[in-house]
Amino acid sequence: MSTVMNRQTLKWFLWAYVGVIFIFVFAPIVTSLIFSFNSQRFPTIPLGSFSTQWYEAVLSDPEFWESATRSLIVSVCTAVLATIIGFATAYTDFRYNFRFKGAYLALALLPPTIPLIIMALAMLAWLSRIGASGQVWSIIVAHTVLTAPFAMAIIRLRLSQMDESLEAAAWNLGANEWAAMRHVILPFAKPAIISALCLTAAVSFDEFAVAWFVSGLNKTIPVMILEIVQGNIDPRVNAIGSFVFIISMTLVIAAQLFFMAKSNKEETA
Amino acid sequence: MTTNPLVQFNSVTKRFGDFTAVNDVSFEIDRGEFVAIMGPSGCGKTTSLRMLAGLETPDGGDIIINGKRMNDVSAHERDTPLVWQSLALFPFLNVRANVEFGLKMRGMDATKRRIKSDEWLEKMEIAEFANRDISQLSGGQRQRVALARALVTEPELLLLDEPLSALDAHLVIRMQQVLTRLQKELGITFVYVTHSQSEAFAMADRVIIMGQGEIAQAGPSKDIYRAPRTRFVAEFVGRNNIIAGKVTKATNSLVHLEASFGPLTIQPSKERELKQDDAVEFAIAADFVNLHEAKPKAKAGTNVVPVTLISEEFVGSVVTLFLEAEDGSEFKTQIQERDLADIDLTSGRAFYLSWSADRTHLLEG
Repeated sequence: MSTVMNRQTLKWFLWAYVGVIFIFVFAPIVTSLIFSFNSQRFPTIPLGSFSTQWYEAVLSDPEFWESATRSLIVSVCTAVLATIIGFATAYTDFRYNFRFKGAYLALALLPPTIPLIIMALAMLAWLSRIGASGQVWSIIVAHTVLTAPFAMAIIRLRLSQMDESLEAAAWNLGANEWAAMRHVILPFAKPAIISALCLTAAVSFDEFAVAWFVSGLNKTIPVMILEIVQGNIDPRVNAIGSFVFIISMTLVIAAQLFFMAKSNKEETA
Repeated sequence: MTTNPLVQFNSVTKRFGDFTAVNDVSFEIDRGEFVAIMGPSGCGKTTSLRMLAGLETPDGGDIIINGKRMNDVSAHERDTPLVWQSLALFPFLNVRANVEFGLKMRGMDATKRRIKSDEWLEKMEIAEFANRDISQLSGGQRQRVALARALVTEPELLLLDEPLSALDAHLVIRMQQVLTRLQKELGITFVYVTHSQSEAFAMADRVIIMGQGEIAQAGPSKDIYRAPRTRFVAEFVGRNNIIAGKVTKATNSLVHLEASFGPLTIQPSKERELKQDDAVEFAIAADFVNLHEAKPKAKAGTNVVPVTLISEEFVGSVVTLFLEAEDGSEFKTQIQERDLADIDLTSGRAFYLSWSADRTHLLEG
C-alpha cells in the first residue's frame, strides 16, 4: 500500500520537476515573445495594447536586413562546410583503421569542449595575425571549426548503423569507390547529412561569442542584439529575439525529425 | 574434364597479422559445378570466397578465373556477384532498384535495365513486390531479392556466403530447392560457403572441407560422408563413432583390433597397409550401428559390444541414442523413430550394439 503511495508521490514529484525545468527554459522566451507584441516601450505589467510596431520598426531598419542577410550567408556556408568536414571525418572513422585513430577522433571532437571565450580570443588572435579578421568569411571559418564536430557526431552515429557489407556489396556489383560513395554511402547517410546541415546552421545562426570577437564591423544578428541591449531599452530586441528563436527552433526540430524518421522506418525492417 | 576449369586456386595464402586464414590452398572448380566449401568458423572458407570476389588480396599464390590471373583485379572489375550472409540489400532503394543496381553500375540504360529486372523479378517470383521497400519484405522474399540482384548481370560464377543462415528451418529447405533448381537451369557455377553439412550435402555436387586454413578433404558429397579421410572430417561431417585400437592381426579381408572395450574387426584400407601393433582410428557412421535388446548371435565380420543407455535425442523421425561401454567409451546410434516404438528406453538399461566390419572406415593416422 505504502509503496503504491510512494510511487504515486514520486511520479507527481517527477512531473513537477519536469514542469519547473520547462518553465525556467521557456518563460523568458515566452515573455520576450509577448512583449514583442506589446505597444508600450517598457516591459511592465499590465500590458499595453497588441501592436506589431516593433516588428515594423525592425523590418524597416536597413541595418537589421544587413545583419540578417549576413547571418544567413554565414550559417548556410558554415553548415555546408562543417557538414562536408564532419562527413569526411566520420567516414574515415567508419572505413579505416589506423594508428593513433583514437587521438584523431579526440582531436576532431575537441572544439566544442574548449570554453567559447578562449576559442573566440584564440580565433581573433590567429585570424588577425594572418590578416583575416573582421571579414564575413572569418566568421564562417570560426563557425565551421566550432560546428564541424556536431556534424561529425551525427553522421558517425548514422554510419555506425550501417551493415558493413553494404559498401562491399556495391563494389561487388561493379561500383568503383566513387560510385559506391555516391550510390550507397551518401544515400544511406542522407538523413544524418540533412540533420547535420540543419543543426550546424542553427548553431552558427545563434552563435554570439565567437562572432562578436571575429566579426569586426560585419555584425551578425546576435551581435546586433547585444549592441541594441547595451545602448538603451529598446523593445525591438524582443522582436528580433523572437525571430531568431523561431528560425533556430525550426532548424533544430527539422534536424531531429529527419534523423528519427529514417531510423524508425529501418527498425521495423 | 578438368582441362579448362573456371576457377583455380594455386597455393593461395592469406594472412591477417599473425593469423594465417588460408594456408597454401589449391583447388579447381569446373564450369557448371555446384561446389560447397564447408568447415567450422575460422577455417578460412569465407576468406577464400572473399578472395574470389576480390574483397581480399592473397598474400601468396594465384587465383585464376577463366584462365586469367585475378590477384590484382579489383572487386568492381570482376564479374563475381556475391550473395551475402547479411544479404546486404540497400535499405534506401526499393526492390526493383536493388535488382537493377549492378546493371546501372555497368552503365546499362534505364529501358534495358527495366526489361532485365522485370525478367529476374519474374523468375524469382517477386514481381509483385517490385515497388516495395526492403523493410516491407519477409526473410524469404529478401533472399529472393538478393539472388535476383546477384544474378541479373548473368554471371558465369555466383558466390554465396551462408545465405540461408538467417532463415527459419522450413524456409531453408524451400530455398535449397530454389537454389539447386536455379543452378541446373542456368548452368552456371555456384560456390557456396557454409558451416552446415546438411545444406552442403543437400545441394552441392562436390564438397571442399576446410579446417585451420587448409583443405581437409574434397570430393563428392557421398564420398565424404561415407569415407571421411581424417578424424577432423569424420567428426565434422556427422554422426560418426570414432574408435581407436591396436592392430592384433591384419589379413587381406579383415583387420583384427584390440580396443579399450574389447576385440573388434574392421575392413582393411587400400591406401594404408597395416602391421601388427599399429595404432589406428576408424569411423563407423551412427546409422550403421544396430541396437539389440538381447545379445545377437556372433558371426564373422560382425562386432558386438554390450552397452548401457545414457540418453536419447529426438529430431523428427530419427532418434540418436547415446550409449556407453563398460570402460566408458561412448557410442552413438541413429534409428528410425518408428522402429523404437516398442522398446523401453529407460536410461541405464543394458543393450547390445552391433555393426558389420565392412561398414567401417579406416581413418588416416
